Amino acid sequence: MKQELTDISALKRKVREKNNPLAYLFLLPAYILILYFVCWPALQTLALSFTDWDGISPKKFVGLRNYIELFTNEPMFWEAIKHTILWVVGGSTIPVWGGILLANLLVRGQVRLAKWFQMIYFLPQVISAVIAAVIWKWIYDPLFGPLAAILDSLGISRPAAGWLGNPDLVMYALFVIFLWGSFGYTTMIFTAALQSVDSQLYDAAKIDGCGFWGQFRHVTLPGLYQAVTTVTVLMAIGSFGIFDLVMATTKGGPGYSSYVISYYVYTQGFIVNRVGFAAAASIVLTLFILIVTRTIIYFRERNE
Amino acid sequence: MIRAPFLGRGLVYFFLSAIALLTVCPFLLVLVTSLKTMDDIHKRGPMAFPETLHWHNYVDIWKVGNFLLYFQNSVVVTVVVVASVVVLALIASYPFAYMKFRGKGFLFLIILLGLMVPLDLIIIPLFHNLKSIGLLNTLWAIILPQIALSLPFSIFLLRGFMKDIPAALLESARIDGSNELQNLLYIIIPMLYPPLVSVIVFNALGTWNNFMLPTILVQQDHLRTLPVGLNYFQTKYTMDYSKIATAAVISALPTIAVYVLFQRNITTGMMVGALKE
Amino acid sequence: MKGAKKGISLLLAVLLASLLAGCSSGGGSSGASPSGEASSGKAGKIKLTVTSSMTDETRMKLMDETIKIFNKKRPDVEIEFSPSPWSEYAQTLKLAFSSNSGQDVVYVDDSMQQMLQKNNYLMDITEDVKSRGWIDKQLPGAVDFNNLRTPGKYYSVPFIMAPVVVYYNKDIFSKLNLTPPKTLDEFNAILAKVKAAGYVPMENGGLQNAPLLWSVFNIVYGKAPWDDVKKFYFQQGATPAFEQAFVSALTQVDDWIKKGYYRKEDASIDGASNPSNYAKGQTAMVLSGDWDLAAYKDTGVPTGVFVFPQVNPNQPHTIVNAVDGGWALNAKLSPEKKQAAIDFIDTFMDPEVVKLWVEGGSTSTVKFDASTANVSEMQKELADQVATTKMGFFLDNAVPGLLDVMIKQTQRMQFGQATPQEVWNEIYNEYQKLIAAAKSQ
Repeated sequence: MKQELTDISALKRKVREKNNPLAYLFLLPAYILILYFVCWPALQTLALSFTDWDGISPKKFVGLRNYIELFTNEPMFWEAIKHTILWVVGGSTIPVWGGILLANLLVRGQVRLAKWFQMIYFLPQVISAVIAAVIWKWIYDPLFGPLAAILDSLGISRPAAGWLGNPDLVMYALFVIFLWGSFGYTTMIFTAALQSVDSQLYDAAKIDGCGFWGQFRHVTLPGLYQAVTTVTVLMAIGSFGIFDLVMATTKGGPGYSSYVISYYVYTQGFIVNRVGFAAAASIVLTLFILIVTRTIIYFRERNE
Repeated sequence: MIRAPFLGRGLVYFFLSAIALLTVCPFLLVLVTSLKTMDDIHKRGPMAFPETLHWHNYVDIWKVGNFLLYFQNSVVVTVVVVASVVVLALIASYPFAYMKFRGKGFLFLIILLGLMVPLDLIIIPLFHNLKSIGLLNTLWAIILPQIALSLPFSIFLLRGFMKDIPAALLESARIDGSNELQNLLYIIIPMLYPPLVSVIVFNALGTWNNFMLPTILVQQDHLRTLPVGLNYFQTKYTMDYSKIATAAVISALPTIAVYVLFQRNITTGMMVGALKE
Repeated sequence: MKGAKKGISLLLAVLLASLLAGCSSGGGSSGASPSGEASSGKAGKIKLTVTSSMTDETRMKLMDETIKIFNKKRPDVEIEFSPSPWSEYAQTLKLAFSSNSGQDVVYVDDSMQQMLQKNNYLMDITEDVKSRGWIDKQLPGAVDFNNLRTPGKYYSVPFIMAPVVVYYNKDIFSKLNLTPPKTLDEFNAILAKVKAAGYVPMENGGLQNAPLLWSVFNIVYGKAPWDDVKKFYFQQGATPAFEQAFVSALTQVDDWIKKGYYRKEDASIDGASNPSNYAKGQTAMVLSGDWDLAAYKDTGVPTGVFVFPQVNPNQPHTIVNAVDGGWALNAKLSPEKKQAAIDFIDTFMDPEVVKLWVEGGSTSTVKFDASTANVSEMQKELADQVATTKMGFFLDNAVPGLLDVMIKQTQRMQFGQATPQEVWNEIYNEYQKLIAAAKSQ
């Protein structure tokens, strides 16, 4: 009798699991907001991308012209794409692995005052991008900045054209700022994730004879798997939006050496007033992000 | 836990401290700058230590424009947004992590799409939509879109962490007959304290520092938020760095305070969790 | 139970915050605003919303004072002045007007005016301009300036100018026995001497290249017929003469770059730090506007002012100078509000107000007896110098988006990535694209 009841409730559960209508209830409030304030405007922008609009006059339908122009008549767009790709690749790897490293040191190294270290690392997140940019512009200032002063006192020669104004170095200079601002974030997430890894697993690994690296490979990494995927995706997406940084420092310069897609969209949409065109560019950007993210998730899900 | 040899530990501490120092230096710069005036900066450059510490900057700043009002607005907006996002994201992430339902993949795609949508893309239609429902020029014009924009990220994050929690826990709970809501409240949430803190902190920061949204959606001065106010110290061609620095320090203090406060919660939560095991 | 407690406190917080939010959005402001309170229940007063891009403390104070003086004449009008920072000003205006919440009185520069007027958002105030005699009250050409794109009609009225001048280090000049140049050749000679003596000839700020571009414009004014310049500025294209002048100007500046007349790290320097760099006392000259006069005065370096030399003695001496902006009215104003707005604009031509602004460091377009104002030596020098010249344009204002292109292309030139002719070609290409975008409505 008990067995039958268990079977029936197990069956009920199975059926319920296949399609749990309660899920929709849970999702409802969040989705109402997201759909109205995010999805719907995004669709409206899609519609905009097929028009010729300057933000203020009545709209004029032009079909695919914006998209065609984007890929054939805008060499700057290709520059922007190139830079954005480099940035995304760097941005979704270096801060992520830096975070893993630091989180490991902090949590597994049983570092005292780990709390304080973490707090300090997180500080750059606390200020807005504009202020961070202003600070770093000073740091990079070839005349007054500490970087120049330090290099001078050490007798190391520095690039004549400086850093932010130097077409060869500017992307790296910007990336340092990005790294400074984001590694605290990744460290924090990984620290939280590491703390929820069962300590007994480590004991078991040690009993099995695993050293530091062995434990890392066999206990830490698998335990962090989901978090690593999450963070990588988030950083990849976040990298697409380094608009704030570029806007506040180089504005895409010198020349076009730090032009990225999001800045391109901004100039076209808000400075040049080709809103329809900018809408098309941002749609392309979004598709790009979609492809990249889907790829990352696909690979991770496969490995799971 | 590993016990690294003594030299290794020294190296570790050195490495960590070096990074900490590098991280902190720019802040010291801001702090020092907030105690200067533009005269100092013009005369002796941005790096020099000021001759006198202009503490009065911190008093004066409240009189500039509507600084106090901006501060209040920022607080209100941030509290409402963060609270709403936490509640809504928790109940929305749960189905993605633990329930099966039709359209799960598609609905999650919407979340991903939400993550990728840059504000620039949707700001103009958003503006017109808000206007037509009459919410423009109220604080809701900043609050509601901010919640909507923050939800995808929080849902994504929470779902990720929820998945790291072994499903076995839920199975046994379901067998015991508890319903999903109870599962959420009594099992999942307590296990999620560290990530929850992350979510709260990130949302608080993002909302507090959000600049574009309030600038565009709110035209009336008495509704503006702090970052918008910060931007005020910018003239046609130059920036008043000392004021910006002062305002920046003041803006950052609440967020730092929040972070410090919640830090304690993490440690306690963790200890309780560990003991329970 | 920790979870429940947290849940409850969260709910309470949400409720409390919603209450507060409700109160705030109800229209009351708990803090006193410096200029005009939010009007709940101030019956009988006409309210005008005014906006501009003057967010710096100095000019906000000046606006406050001006509004007070205005209220003496019109106590029944309440001005709500809320400026937006310059970097988003055009965008803010666009959004406001395109959703029917444009302000009543807006301060616009030439291209913003064009943008708004094209869509009939601005009121035609030709009649009032004429009946109030504003044209005569101001320097010749001032009121016309912003309205040149709509000949015969006036939509805005200026009150200050934004001239670009050359600030120079008096000590260096006297040490090297130099006097302010009157021709381009003299200017070049000065540069060479200063460089040879080991000083920095000019500040620039390679991240924005503003002084560099202004130099280019100044030279163009001397080399191209004025009609051609106007054609370019009013989006009618570039004549061969204009192209030649522009390339020639670029070549001259390129020459300066190659001769090292700017700092070697100039490419990474932000123009905003020009005054601090100048303050080191090693720089001979820097181009900047009257808005920077206080900054240069405060550097402690004895500084003089001269205008960019006349490049062509056969043409009027024109420098980069333009009206800073003009006050324009929302097309939808009621007759009552319109009257109040017109009175508001009129206040800016009141001698008391003009004196206020001049002493605050601005250059007025209103005819004014400078001897009655308490201005510094430097200010006087600047005003005297500028008075000898004709107003030119900020050529980058020809069409929205042109400035960005000009900056980037000249940066490429600085790195040898493009020759002056190539730079012009690119600029002209973009110029045409931008015009097409601006005109296509």
